[in-house]
Amino acid sequence: MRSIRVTLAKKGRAKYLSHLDMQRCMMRAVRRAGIELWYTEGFNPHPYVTFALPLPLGVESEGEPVEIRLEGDATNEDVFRALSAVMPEGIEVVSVQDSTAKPNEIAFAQYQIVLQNAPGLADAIRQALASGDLPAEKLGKAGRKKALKQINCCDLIGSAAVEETNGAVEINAVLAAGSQQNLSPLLLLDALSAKTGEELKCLSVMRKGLLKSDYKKF
Amino acid sequence: MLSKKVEDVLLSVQKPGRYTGGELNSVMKDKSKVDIRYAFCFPDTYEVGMSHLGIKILYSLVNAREDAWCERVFAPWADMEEKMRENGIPLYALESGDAIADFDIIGFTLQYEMSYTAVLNMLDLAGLPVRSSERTALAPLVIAGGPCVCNGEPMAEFIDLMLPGEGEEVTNDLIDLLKEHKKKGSSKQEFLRAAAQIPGVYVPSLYDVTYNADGTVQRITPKDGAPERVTKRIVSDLDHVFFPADFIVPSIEIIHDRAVAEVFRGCIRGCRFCQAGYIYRPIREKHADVVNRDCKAICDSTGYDEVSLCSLSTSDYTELEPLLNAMLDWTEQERVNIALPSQRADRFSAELTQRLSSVRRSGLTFAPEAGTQRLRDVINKNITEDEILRACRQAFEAGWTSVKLYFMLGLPTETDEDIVAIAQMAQKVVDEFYHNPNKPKGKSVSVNISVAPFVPKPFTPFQWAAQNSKEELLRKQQLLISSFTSKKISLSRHDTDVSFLEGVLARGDRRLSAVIETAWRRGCKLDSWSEFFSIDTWLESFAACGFDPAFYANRVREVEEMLPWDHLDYGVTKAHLAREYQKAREGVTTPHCRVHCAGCGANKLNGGECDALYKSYARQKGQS
Ligand code: SF4
Repeated sequence: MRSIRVTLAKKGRAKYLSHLDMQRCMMRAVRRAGIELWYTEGFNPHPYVTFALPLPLGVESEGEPVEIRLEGDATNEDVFRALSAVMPEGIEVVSVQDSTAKPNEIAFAQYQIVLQNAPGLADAIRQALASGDLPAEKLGKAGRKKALKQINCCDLIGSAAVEETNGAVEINAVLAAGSQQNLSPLLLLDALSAKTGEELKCLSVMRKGLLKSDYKKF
Repeated sequence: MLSKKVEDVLLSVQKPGRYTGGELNSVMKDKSKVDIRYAFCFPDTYEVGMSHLGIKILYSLVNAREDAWCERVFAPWADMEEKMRENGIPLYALESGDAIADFDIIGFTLQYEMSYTAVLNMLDLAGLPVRSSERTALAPLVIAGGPCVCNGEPMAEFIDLMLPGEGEEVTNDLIDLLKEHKKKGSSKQEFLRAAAQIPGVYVPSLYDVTYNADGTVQRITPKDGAPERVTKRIVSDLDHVFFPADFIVPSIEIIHDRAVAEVFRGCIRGCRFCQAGYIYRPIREKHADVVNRDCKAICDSTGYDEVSLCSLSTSDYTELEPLLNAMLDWTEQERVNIALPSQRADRFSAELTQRLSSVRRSGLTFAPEAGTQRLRDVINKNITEDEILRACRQAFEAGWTSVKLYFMLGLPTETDEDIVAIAQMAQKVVDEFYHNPNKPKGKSVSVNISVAPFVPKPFTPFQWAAQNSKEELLRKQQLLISSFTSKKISLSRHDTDVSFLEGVLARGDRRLSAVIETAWRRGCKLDSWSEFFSIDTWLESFAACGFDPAFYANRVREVEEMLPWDHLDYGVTKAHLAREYQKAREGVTTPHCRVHCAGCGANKLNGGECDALYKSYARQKGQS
């Protein structure tokens, strides 16, 4: 058995797929590709095909890592070719490498958020981000149940730059990501909208990559 | 491709994946290079429609033609409908994103009566008048197929043309004809008159219906050269009929998300309440090697890890054992699960059972349908209490702890004794569990009884019978509940109001089009979903149009009465149905088709051939 990391781009119509949809879709792609999978032992054997970090519905991505455990002697190059041939529209295999890092090493995700411009919007967003106080409500775990809890988005922003580019406002942000702390770019937008009092018209949100706690690429 | 307007609303609705298209194996074509654009519409949600085998077959069949492009359309959920109406988004096809009002054919499949208002709502969302007479241009032509068109009369005012029977061949004939008439620049009337000459095409507007003073049908008169009777089309040779090698793989979760292959059409059983058992005759089997090839091709092209075999009663397939053996040779290797109904598993050899035990089985279910042997004889349901108890015992020994039993309430000749017997049978199943010496420690049994009101359907021996009133059904449900003697027994029941409306529409005539339109205008649009179903709106609509729904549902019809579907020929003769109706009332059973051909008449559709006859003949010969 060996572990590989398949990196997928998810663009266009595929952004409307949820995390669960993506998992199912990937399982089937791997089967179509005829890749020999490793299975767990026991009564109900199952393969290991796991996304490192869920991607919120509506967000595109340039690189989503998926860990897959293989049997047999297929090379990374073989897997790349076989998988590339069977992916559905909007999901593309970017690379196949040996798997080295573990998902729990993920600390941040980089996002590019593009909003339709409006007079004074960029400044209003800059101010809101600099205020240090961006309250939002998040569905989180409270013991065994789920409950809404209050968070301050600013605590979960690594960095954020706001730029005006032809008719659009672009936010490039590094947000906390992973199983410990996580800030969805969509939640950040809600918080910004509430704070600035502007109705933000989002043109696109793209996850550019995942980072470890030392800001190195995951 | 999604339009900007659609993209703008998608993130504000639930499950946007329903509306995006772009799934694996969906077919894209260059619209400038096709002659006919076909919008295949399923009048229910994406998840329901995409689970249906017929849509997969027709979709691939039409797309196999270079000159036509078939795309899919489903009913939007209420949140999306609201956004569409608000933003001026017309109903569009998932592949191209183009408005279906610009297509050549809009084809609905009518799988159940409760989807009728969804058809109207979809036409309206497309920006089209719902009434056939108000759509005067040749395109788009609105057509319908599916089991409900065996009596599509209540939809007669909305649908230009119906296809009773199997769609594979007639769809191609129809596309050819439409292509020709489109080139010629024919009017809609000219085309419909010509289409009525194709065997298996029914054009409702070419028939005049008159009524007697008592409201029953007096006469159905064809005009403009339309045939006296329209005979359903069937495919004669299933081994060579088109079957897709790939299925669209939905990106979001749907109801039945797996590979499906068909093993045979028709049913040998002859249960007297079952419409499917009659309207799909004669019996035609597919050879095991063909089915096996279909299954393998679909699994390869989709990546599905489950395959199911589709027919009305798969355990009656004569080549089931060789098929399963052939399938297991690759499914084990590729870790594909074969979904099999658990009944009659005792028919398999020990070796096959051993191999099958490695695959997951769907839940343990039985359908005795009636509580006493007497009533089971009336409905010709060929299963005894002993058989059920024996199968339960075997299942309990194998570790099962729950069983589901299906029954109907309100069957013809039913008495209270029959209902109490349902509870008694459930108790016997519970007792079987506790008599099992090896029962799993600390586990208890659960027996779920599901009761559905009996709905008489056209082309069955009970097409003349009365449906029980709501009051009667509720009384019977209460009687059943009060007869339960164990906490291990639970009950699920169908909504009696839904069954009532289903019964009215199933045996309705074309005057009910007005009621359907009224109900839709008053807000009915997804009646198969309890969140949207409103019996009050329906009853008000009947009243507003001056019709009594009980006339259609709760009245006993005389065998001599002219029925609204008498001008359609589904193979099985009215004389055979009447004979079976009489035998039912006498409590006399009819053996299944492999024991003895009951002479239903359906074999005439296939040049006198019926696989049930042939196979029973072959078997007799083998035995002698
Ligand atoms: S023709 Fe005979 S054997 Fe065939 S379905 Fe009819 S009754 Fe059964």
